[in-house]
This record gives sequence, structure tokens and C-alpha cells, in this order.
Amino acid sequence: MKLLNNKFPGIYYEKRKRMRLYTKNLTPGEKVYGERLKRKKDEEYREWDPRRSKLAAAILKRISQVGLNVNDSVLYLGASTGTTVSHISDIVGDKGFIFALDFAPRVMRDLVFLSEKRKNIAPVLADATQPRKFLHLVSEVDFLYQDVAQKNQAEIFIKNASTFLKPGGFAFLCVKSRSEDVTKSPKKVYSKVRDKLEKEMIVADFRILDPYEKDHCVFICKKK
Amino acid sequence: MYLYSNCVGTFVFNQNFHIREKVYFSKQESLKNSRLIEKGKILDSEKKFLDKFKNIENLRKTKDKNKLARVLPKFRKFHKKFYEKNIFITKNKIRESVTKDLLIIQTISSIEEYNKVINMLVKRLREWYAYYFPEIEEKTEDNEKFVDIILKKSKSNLKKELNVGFSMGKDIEQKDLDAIFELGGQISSLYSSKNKQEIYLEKLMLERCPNLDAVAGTTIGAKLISLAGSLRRLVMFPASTVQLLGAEKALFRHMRNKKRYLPPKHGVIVQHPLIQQNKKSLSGKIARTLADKIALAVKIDYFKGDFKGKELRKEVEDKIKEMK
Repeated sequence: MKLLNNKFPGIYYEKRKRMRLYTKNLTPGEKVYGERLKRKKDEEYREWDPRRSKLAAAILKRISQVGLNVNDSVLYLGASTGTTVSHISDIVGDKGFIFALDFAPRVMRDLVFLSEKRKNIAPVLADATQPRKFLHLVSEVDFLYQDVAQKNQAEIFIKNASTFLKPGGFAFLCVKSRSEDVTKSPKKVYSKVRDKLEKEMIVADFRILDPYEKDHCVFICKKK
Repeated sequence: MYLYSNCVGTFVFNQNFHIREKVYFSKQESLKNSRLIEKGKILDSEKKFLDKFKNIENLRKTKDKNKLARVLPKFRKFHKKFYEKNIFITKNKIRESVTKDLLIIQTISSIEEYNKVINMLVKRLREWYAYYFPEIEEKTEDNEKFVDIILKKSKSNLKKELNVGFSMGKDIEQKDLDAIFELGGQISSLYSSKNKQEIYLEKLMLERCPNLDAVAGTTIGAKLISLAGSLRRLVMFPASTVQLLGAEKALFRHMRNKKRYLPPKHGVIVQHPLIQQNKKSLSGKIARTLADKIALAVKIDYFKGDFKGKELRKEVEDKIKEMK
């Protein structure tokens, strides 16, 4: 078990037949979604599945940086049942904090259970398209993560980044091209999104997530 | 001076955005106040400060992003409070999200699953029982009746009723028969609980959407809600979408290849008696009118209008007469 490199604090890897990512388990002994646990010396690590988490997929696709640090506070839009959220919670650690936001009450139920175990996750049931509606539930954050499968993903991202992200903070955007427009080719959708992003932010890196996730791509952006 | 409230409390900032005064909310207060904030109303705690300081600006509704960006960082040290309040508020929101149409969706799905399970088990029962007395199995097509008959009447009685002289069935030992009847008993109790659920569904539908129930019927109405996801979403759909709910596969097959595949005429509303009883050549037209009226009925239900279901249904029937 080794640290990936100093651009990715809190993320570990092990390489045997293939590359496997790990994060240090914040609640030792407990699984979140049925992932494998590994004990090395006195520490426990949770395996990070790139097929279930786009952040892990992006790292395995050798993205140059993420900008997520230990002790960061994070706004996570589209948290769902908390698969990726739990790993980010491992990375930022006890002193970090995550506002995990989702719109569907059904998945929020699982997220509430998760947040009761992990004291650094606050569940927020709200609509990511309207930052004004959950302004009173969130503070400023160091890092923004967005993974919502709906239309106008770039607009939602820019709106939220301009409201909640600190100046110079990093933001991670997953684009699902099929929910932007089913009929257009993914490449066209990506370049359109990129144009929109570049007007407001600095695009630091870009990766297509094949073969881990079909027709998805990620952007790493920095707030001006 | 600036005033700002969130789920943690109400804060007064001076010109340099330092916190000058603050009021923390208790759990219950934060819930109540966050509801008020979402509605854009002024809180009690804010009123005090609005009276106390003149020349104070409430930043909650401000359009000036720079001012907001000065205020939001100040709440970083309140993460523990955010954690408590957010869990409590979210739990309450989840509780409130349970509505009558979710119950309708669960009930109709459960009835559909009952049907699947019962069909599977009855098939097995028929095969099994046919070793014992195949003639009755051959004669009764209706599943519910079949289960009922074999549980209530003995083989000798049934033989007389059907006038069977010599049966192909073997006389099985009692302990082997018991196993068959055990399954039969289970199926019959499944039938009775399914029927109970159907009655319950009808009550639910009459309570929540009487107009939809009158026009579309209980099962189809409930299926439409379940396909749409909620009554609210069904209300948003145009009639043409209602007509095709449940026919998505056929619709997208048509959209991909318009020359080869014709568009579907109807989704789940094809099971409606008005479509089933009439000529097949009319089914597309009837589906269109029916969907029209269903879309109307749903809107009346959602916005709590008067009962107009019977009139709407009559309009459909009249139109069908015109078509002929």
C-alpha cells in the first residue's frame, strides 16, 4: 500500500496484476457498499471501484490533478447513495467536511444512514439547479464535485461554483453526454460543455472515462 | 450593516463583514426557519435585528454576489452545527416526501407482482394435480376457480359432477396429496390477499384521484401514475404522452427507424374496456380520445377540482359512437 503521489493526498494504490486504488477507512470495520476491505499493519483501507465511482475512474485514466486535499470542505452535487461520497469522506478525514446534496428522497435515505456513521457528511435534500434554494444549508467550500445526470450540466456547475466555491478552488465535473443530448455524438457534447466552462473558469484537465464508464467525461476546473 | 440567516442561526455583520451579533437556532427552530427561508419570508429572529439596527441590509435575497462571497466563508467554522441541523432537516424532508401517490405506486406494483407469483405457482399446481385428476384440470381454464374447486371438493364428488367414468389420474396416497393441497392452500391465500390489496387500491384512488379513477379505471389509472413516477409528473404530461405511457420500447424503435416500424397507438391504456370492447381498427382513435380525457381528469384531481369523471367518460363514449 503506497501513496499515489503528492498530488493526490489520501489516495493509496497497490499494483499486482492491475492497478487498484484505496482510501484509508474512516470507520474501520465497516463497509459502505460491499467493497473489499484490506488491513495493512494497523490501518484499514477500502478498495475504490472505478466502475462505480467516476473520480476513481478519472484517476486511473491518469488525470493530472484533482485538487482535493485533506481537511477540505466539499460540496458534492448528485450524491446518490454515497458511494463516491464515502471515499471523499475518507480522503478529507475528520477535519474535512462534505455537503452531500441530492434531489431524490429515496436515495437520500441511504445517505442519511451513511452520514450518521460518518460525522463529516451532511446530507442535503435539495435541487442542484437552484443554488439559491439551499443557500441556507451550505457554507463556502474548497472543492466542488458535480455528478448529476440531467440537462444543462455545465450551467448548473457554473452557477454553483460561482456561489459556493472559494476563489482559486478546484472543481470536478462529470458530464454524462447521453443526458445532455441522446442524439448528438459525445465528442460534440464535450466540446460544447468545454466552451461554456472556459468562459467562466480555467479548465485544468479533461478525461474521457472509457472503458470504465461509457459516454462520460470529466473536467477539472479552477475558479478564477 | 448586513443581516444573514441560515439553518445555523441569524447573524449580523458589520461593514467589514465581521460577525457583530448572532442568534443560534435550536433543532426545532432551524427546521421551522429553514422552511420560512425557502418560502422567502422574514424570520422572527431577523425582525429583532431589523428593528434594532437601522440601515441594515438582508443578504439572503441579494443579487450582489460579492457580498455573498464575503459572508459565506464566515460559516466554515460552524460545520458541526451544519451537520446536526442538516441531518434533522433532511430527515424531516424525507418524511414529508411520502405522499398518497407513492402508496398507490407501491400497491399497484405489489399487485402486479402477486399476479406474477400466482401464475407461476398455479402452473406448477396444475401439473402436479394432473397426476391425480387430469380431467378437472383440463376443464377449468380460470386459475382462481381451479384452485378453489380442488381445495373444496373431493375427487369422487368431482367425478360425478363431470360424469367421468374412468379417470386417467392415479389415486395418490394421502400424504402425497397433502403436499399438493399445501401448495393449493398457499395460492388461495395469495389470491385473497391480492383481492384485499385491489380493494385497498380502489379506496386510495377514490380518495386521491377520483376523476382519473372514473375515466381510466382503477388499475390503469394506478399504472399510469406508477409509469409517470408521481401524480405531479403525470399532470405535467401532454395527452399524447399519456397515450403512449408503457409503450416506450415501441416508440423508440419507431423513432430510430421510421420507415420500418410504425408508431405505437397506445401504451397501458390498451387494457381499458372501451378499447378492448370495440373494433381493433378503432383502437388508435379511441386511445387518442381516452388519453385526452385522462389528461384532463388528472389535472382536475391534482388541483383539487370538482368531480367530473362521469361526464368525461361519457364524452369519450359519445365520441366513440360518432366514430362508428
